[in-house]
Amino acid sequence: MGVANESPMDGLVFEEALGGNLQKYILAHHGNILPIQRHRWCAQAAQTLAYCHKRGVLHCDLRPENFLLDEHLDLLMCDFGGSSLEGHFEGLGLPDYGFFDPTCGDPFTVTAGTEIFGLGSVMFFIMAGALPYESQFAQKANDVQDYAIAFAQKLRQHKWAEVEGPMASIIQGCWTREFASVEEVVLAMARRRLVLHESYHCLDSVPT
Amino acid sequence: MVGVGSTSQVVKLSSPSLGIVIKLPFHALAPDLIKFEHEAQVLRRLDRHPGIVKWGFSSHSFPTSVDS
Repeated sequence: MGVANESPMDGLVFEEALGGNLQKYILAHHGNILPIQRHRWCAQAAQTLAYCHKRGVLHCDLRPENFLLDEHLDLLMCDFGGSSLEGHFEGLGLPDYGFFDPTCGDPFTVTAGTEIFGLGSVMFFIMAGALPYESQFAQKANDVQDYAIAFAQKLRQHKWAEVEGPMASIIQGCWTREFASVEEVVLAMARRRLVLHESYHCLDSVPT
Repeated sequence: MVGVGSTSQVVKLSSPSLGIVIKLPFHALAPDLIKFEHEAQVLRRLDRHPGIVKWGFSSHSFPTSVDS
């Protein structure tokens, strides 16, 4: 048995994220994560997504599993396999239930607005350690279909999952289409002093 | 090097000792090869940003098929 041929195409190499993915980390350490760390993650998620949009990229699968943590517990967005570049889509282009609004126009088309909604849900998970409404549908949450139906019903009734603290209005704003761009989310967080200049350990300021 | 997972699109290999994960296209499925190239194109566009997972192109070619 031997190798028949070699591909002219190289592989992609990624640095292994020592902290694992955000979802696993939060579920494992939920009670011990300080609010300032959660705010930092929210700011990093918003800043990175704003950068992606500015470069013409929609991630299309925003969820806590697609954020990794490095050795400093800084967020790293990953998995761009289904993302869109300048409107060119690959894959199905849809995040999981809870991370897009099934009541908004064509729910199967990802837009900047869809991504802002998803960012709100990612931030909710960061702050609450659970999916929106997950505590109310704990037994059903394992069933994706049931959770999806319950989630859509809540949205149609304009019942938003409750969030406490300074992030509440930002998350609600993401869900209620208050923001026209992710940059506006970042600015709103900055006005509330929720974006830190030293958001990332490796830089004094984050490039935009 | 140990395998950490695969989908219909790609095969992921992890090397804990090197601290890297390598994603390889699954060449048997042509559409998925296109998807892999798409991800590379997107990462190129995003360049280097502290919030994007650190990535690079491997410097080697990889076997794409095996004859027996």
